[in-house]
This record gives sequence, C-alpha cells and structure tokens, in this order.
Amino acid sequence: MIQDKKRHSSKKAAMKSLRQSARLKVLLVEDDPDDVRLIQEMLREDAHTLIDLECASHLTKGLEKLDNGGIDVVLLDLNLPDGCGLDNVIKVQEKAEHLPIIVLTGLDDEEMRNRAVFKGAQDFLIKGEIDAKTLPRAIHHSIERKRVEESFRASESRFRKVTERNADAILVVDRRKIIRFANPAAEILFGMKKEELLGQPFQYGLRKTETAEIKIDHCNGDPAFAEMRVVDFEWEGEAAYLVSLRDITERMRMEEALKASEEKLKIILENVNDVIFQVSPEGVLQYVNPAVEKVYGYKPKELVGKGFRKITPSAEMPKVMRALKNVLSGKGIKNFEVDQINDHGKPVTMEVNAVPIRREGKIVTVQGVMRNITERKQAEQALRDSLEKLRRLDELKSNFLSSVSHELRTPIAIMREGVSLCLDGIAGNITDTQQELLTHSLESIDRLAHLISDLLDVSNIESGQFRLKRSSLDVCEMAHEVMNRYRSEAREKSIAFVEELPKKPVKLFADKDKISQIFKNLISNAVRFTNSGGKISIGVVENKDVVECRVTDTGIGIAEKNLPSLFSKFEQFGRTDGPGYRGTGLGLTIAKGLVEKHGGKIWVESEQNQGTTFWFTLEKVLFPKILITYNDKTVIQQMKRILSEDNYRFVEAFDEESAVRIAKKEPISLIVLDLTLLNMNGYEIISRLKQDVRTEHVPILISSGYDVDEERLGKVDSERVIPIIRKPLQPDELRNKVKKLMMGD
Amino acid sequence: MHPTYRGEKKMAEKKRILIVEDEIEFAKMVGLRLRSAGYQVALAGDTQIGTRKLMEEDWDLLVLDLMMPGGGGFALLDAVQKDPLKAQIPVIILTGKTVDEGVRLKAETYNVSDIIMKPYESKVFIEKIKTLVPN
Repeated sequence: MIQDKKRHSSKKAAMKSLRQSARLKVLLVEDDPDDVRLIQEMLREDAHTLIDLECASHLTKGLEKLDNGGIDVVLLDLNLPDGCGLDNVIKVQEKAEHLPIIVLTGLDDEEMRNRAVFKGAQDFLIKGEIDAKTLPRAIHHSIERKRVEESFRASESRFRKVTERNADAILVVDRRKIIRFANPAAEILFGMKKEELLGQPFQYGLRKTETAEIKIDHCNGDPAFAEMRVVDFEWEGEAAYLVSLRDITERMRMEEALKASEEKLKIILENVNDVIFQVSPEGVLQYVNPAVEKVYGYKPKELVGKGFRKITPSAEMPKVMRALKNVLSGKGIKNFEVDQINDHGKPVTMEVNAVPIRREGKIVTVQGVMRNITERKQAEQALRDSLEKLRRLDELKSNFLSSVSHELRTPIAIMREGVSLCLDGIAGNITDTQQELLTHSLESIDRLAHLISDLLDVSNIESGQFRLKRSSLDVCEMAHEVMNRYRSEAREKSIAFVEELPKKPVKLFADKDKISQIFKNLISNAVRFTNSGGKISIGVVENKDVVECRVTDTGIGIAEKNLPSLFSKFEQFGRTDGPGYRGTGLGLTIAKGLVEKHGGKIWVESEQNQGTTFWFTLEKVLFPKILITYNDKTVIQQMKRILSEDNYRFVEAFDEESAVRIAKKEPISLIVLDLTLLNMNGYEIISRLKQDVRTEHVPILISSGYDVDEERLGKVDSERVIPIIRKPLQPDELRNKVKKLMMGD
Repeated sequence: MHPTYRGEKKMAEKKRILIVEDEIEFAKMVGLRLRSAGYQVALAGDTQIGTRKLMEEDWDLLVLDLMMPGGGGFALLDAVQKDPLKAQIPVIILTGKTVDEGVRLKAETYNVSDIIMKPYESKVFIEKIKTLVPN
C-alpha cells in the first residue's frame, strides 16, 4: 500500500523526466492569428508529442527568437508582413543553418513549395491540409531528416578534411560515372579546377579489385600517369565509388630515363674492347661483357657462374686470390697485371682495375675492367731486349777500349821505366854517350805515350760509346786547378797568369775529368804558343742556359788559312817551338769532342802575332733528381742537407703508390728507399719499379735503420746489386755512394 | 857492446812493400826502384797470390795493379776488407787503365792514398812513397 504508492510515484517521476527530455520546442513564424490558434490546438491534442510552441508574428521577431536558442524546428510561413518567399527560408537558414525548416504555404503555391524544399527546407505543409496527425509527424520527420542530413554533412566535412590535404588525387564517382567530388590533388593531377571536374563523366574503366595504370592527357603539355584504386563508397546516401589516384608520372619518367641509360650502358658494354666484369665475393663470375670473347675466346655464358680457373694458369691462382682478397678488404686493385690463358691455351696478360661494390655497408660484388696488355708487354720486352743488346755491345766496346788502353800502356811503361832506371844509375853507372842515347829514348817514349793517350781519347769520342761520368763540379775551381798545374812552367817562361773568374762558384753537372782535360788542352796550348813576357788569362761566365769559358793568350796566333781545319785531326802548325813541345795535333780535336759531348760549342778568334782566344760553352744540364721515400721527415731533411753539397734536386714520397707514380712520371736519377717503415712496402716498390720499362734501370739506394730482410730483398733484387747504407748516416759515405750510383757502371 | 832494444831494432828494419802486378818485367823494375830507395820489396803476379801474401805477412804498403787475372785490384781489396788490420795498410794503385771519376770514386771505399797511371814518373812516385811510408 504505502510501498506501492512509492513505486508508483517514482515510476511517474521517471516518466516525467523522460517526457521532459523529449520535449521539442517549435518556433512558429506566422502572422495570421487564426492559423496560429489552429496549430496550437493541433499540437495540444497529441498527448505524446510533447511539443512546446514559440510564436513569432514577424520574421524579425522570429529571427530574434532564434537568437535566444533552444529551438528545435522552425515552422515558417512564406507570407509574412516583413518577408516572403524564399527570402524567409534563406534568412532563417542564415540564422540557424542546423535547424530543420518546415514551410507553410497556401494551396496554390506549388512552385514556391518546391523551391523552398530545394533551397533546403525539409518539408512543406499546405495550410488547409494540416491536421493533428500530419503536423507532429512532419515535425518529427523533419527533425530526423535534418539530423541525418547533418550527420551526412558532418561525415562529408570529415571526408573533405581528410581528402583536402591528401597527396593522392581522390575522386568520388557515382554509379553513373559522374564525378561528384574531387580533392585539390585531383585538380593538380588532371590539370583542371574542381568546378571543371564535378559533373563530368569519369573516362576510365573502374575495376575494383586491381590497381590500374592510367594515362591522363593534358591539354597543356605532357601526359600524366597515375596508379588507380577503386573501392565501393557511399555519397550523399547513394552507392558510389571512391577513386584514389597516385601520380606516378615522375616514376614513369625515371623508369623511361633508366631504361634509356640502361640501353646506353648495354651498347657501351657490348662494344667496348675492354673486358668488364662482375664477380661475387666468393670469386664466381656474375657478369662479363661480350669483349671477353675477343680476348679469351669464350662467350660470356661459358664463363658466367664459374670461378677464375678456366682462364687463369695454376701458377697465377695464388696471385689472383690475393688480389681478390685485397679488393674485399676494401682497397680495390689498380693496374694489377696478371697472366691468363685463352681458350687455345695461349697466354694473355691483362691489366685489371677493380673495386668493391657495397650495398647497405656490405660488399655484394666486385666490379672491374680488364685490358689486354699482351701486345704492350711484348713490345716492352722487345724494347728491353734491344736495350740489353745495345748495353752489351756498349760493354764490349768499353771493355775493348779499356783493354786496348791497358795493352798499349803496359809495354810503354816497361820501356820507360827500363830507360829511366838506367838513366838514374840504379842499374849501374852509365857513360855519357849512353846517357845521351837514353835521354832521347826517354823523350820519345813520352811522346809515344802522349800520342797513344790522345789516340785513345779520340777513338773513344768517335766511337760514340763513351759516356760522360757526370758529377757536381765548380767550373771556376776546375779552371783554377788546371792553371795551377802550369803555373811553374809559365813562371819559367815569364808568362803572366790572370784569372777572371766570378766570385761565386759556377756549379755544373758535368764530367770532371773531361772538363779538366778541355782546360788542360787549351791552357797547355796557350803556354806552348806564348812567348816570354806574354799573358794568359782565363774567364768563366754563367749564362741562363750555358756556362761560357775563355782562354786567351798573347801568343803567336793562328794564321787565317789554318783556322777552318783547326779542330780536325792531325793539323799541326808552329812545330818549331823547341824540344819537349811535340804536340800530337789532337788536343783541339779532343777538346772539341769533349765540349760537344757536353752539349756545347767551341770556337776561336785569333790574329797572327797578336794572340788567340778560345771560347767554349758547356750546357747547363739539370742536376739529377733524387726521389727520397722515407717516412721520417727528420731523416729526409738530414739526407737533403748532406746531398745538397752536390746540388741534387729532390722530390719526396711518403707511401708506395706515390713513390711508384713519381718514379714513372718524372725523370728520376736515383731512388733512396727505406724498406721497413709503416705504410711503405719498400720491397714491393723495388719489385714494381723493376717491372716497368720506364723505371727498371733507375738506381736504388737502400737506407735502413732496421735489419733488412735478406730473403725478401733477394726476391726483388736477385743479383743483390742494390747497395745498402746503414744508420747512422755518414755524410761522406752517403755522398760517395750516391755519386757512384749516379755515374752508373 | 850496447844492448839493442827491440824498438831500435824495429826502426832499423826496412819497410816492407808488396807489389801486386801481373806484368813481371814491370814489377821487377818497380821493385828495383823501390829497393834502391831503401825498401824491402816482394812481388805477387796475380790477384790470388797477392791476396794470400798480403794476408799471411806484414806489410807497410801495397802497390797494386787493377787489371790482373783472378779478379783484379778491386777484387783483392774487397777480399782484404774482411780483416780490419789488413784493410788499414796504405795502398797505391798503379794502373794502365784510364783513371776517371768512376775509378776514383770506387777507390774511395778503400784505403787508397793515390792512383797513378802507367807509364809513371818515377821521381814523383818515389816522393809519394817516401811521404806515406817514411824509411
């Protein structure tokens, strides 16, 4: 009883709150009071509707009420005192676009009704045909429809947001293939504005399960390419298609370019003469170009998938495997020479350059180029052989002349000493007659010795085989020295000696003995042909390319008719100059030969009874360049300091590659090498230099602080000709060894 | 009679010169010249004999020809370098070979005091010897 009552009241309260939340507020904008009353009654009759009515007689008032909010639906009369027709609908929409509008019209206003609905009104009610059932229903339905519309619009707006910024072109195409929506990316892809796209038929086939590639022609230029995907979609309540298009124009263009460059590459690979290959890290051939057939006789397919064994002689395999290891360790190989065999078993020599190719940090393949240098090597060997022949011939000639010299001098020495011993009384006392005879004999023997010496000199010069033994010398010092030798003789004849020499030394890289001999020949001639009271002067001048020397005397001069043949053999004149002055006539010939061997010229100015001047020039040859490959800068400095005394030029290298490169490129006269320090494989350097025709004869001097590995050295220098100089560096020893190596022997 | 000290006796001994030269007649003449200048002289006719004699006995000077059978003068000097004492003995090269910068440089490696070409001026030769090995 009491409990039942409670239950009943709570139920009632629940119902009440439910009802209250379901109450709708309707705004009626209607100026006709009769219509207003009618509607009010209709709404009251329906107990379930729970509709509250707000009224406004004018549009402006209605708009004001809308401002206050809380309205759920607007019943709008299209004939109001302050507004009519569509305007009313528009104004209300402007105020509250989210509210459903039901327009109230007269019977005859069919067009108006339709236009209103078209404008966005949810429904229309004809004023004579409204009843208590239709009105609430219309109200509820319009609210529902509005809600659905709004939710469409919301989802559409979400859709738009997503598609607006999307890089892919997105179109919505309806079942009739009309474009209903296009995002900005689509505008770009098609080259058309959204307005131009909407409403147009979509021209491409729509297949839902595949990704298709379509070509879009642009009116203003190159076509675009896109990748298309189609899925089912809903658009404004209808079934439609969502078409997403990814612009692959750039990709297509790159693919085209790639294909074109691959074509180019293919042409190059197929036509080039060098063998281009790719080998796996395990040493299996992955690719080789058609040129391989030209070199090896095998077609590419016969070699791909195999190792090197087919084309490499077994003796060379370790070398090849080592080279492969080098490449795999990241170093790559450069100008690596290897012997191979072709399909007929004939040897070919290849020069290989290869590098490792990495992908994601790992070496995946070795790529390289091989050049057939068989012919080049053969030419080099032929050159070497002929050089060797020439050298041997030279040596034979040299030995011959050397032997002849020795053979001639020995009996003369014996004759001379025999006579001399007798003359000096060592073999016993001699009579006056014997003395006279022996004295003449001695003089003759000396003449003979002189003649033989000169003949040997001329023979040497003329045979062409004689090589200058150049070293660093001071021309002034040489001239002075020779003058000194004749000073006492000059004094005896009361001839004045004058030296007009520059204060600074005039350094020249030339043959000391030969320069000395030139001066000797000229000065001795001057002394011989100048009478008592005369003057002999020497001069040296350093010019840009030559050193010019002069020997002037105030002697008897040379007759003009004798001048042309002065330097040729056996032209003797003025023999009436007393005993002991028996010249051979070859002195000037020899001087000329020696001057010319030094790249110079010799000429004479003379006037009888006035005097004679001999001029000669000596070419300023570049001092030799020494390549020092040493890791320690202080040692290099020390060596340079010591060797600068001899005016050498220097170039330095700090590693194997640059040492070999410099030696091959520049004219190097000597290489000083350290065998054992880091980054330098001295033994390898020697080996590589020996292999190249350009560098195999450059003398090498090893300077090593550590012990030399005799075995390794023996491998690269089988004849053990390379001298070794130990540390600490002895200046004289170093200079001496360098001089000797420069002279070559 | 005064006792003669070993020192004095040593000083009274003549200096010993070894001539290594394959031309016998010439060697004899040089020997004659040196003996008349007060030296004790021995002769060797080729590289091997010369080397052996040099190593086996004591010498104050070596007069050496270059072109000889058995390797020649430089080969003898190479063989002698092994013994530091023998390498110290002064050497005069007396040769018919043309002496140029190359020969001179090579000789610098050894204890060569002078290089004289044949035929030689005997007075100059004797002067040089007297300076090197005073008697």
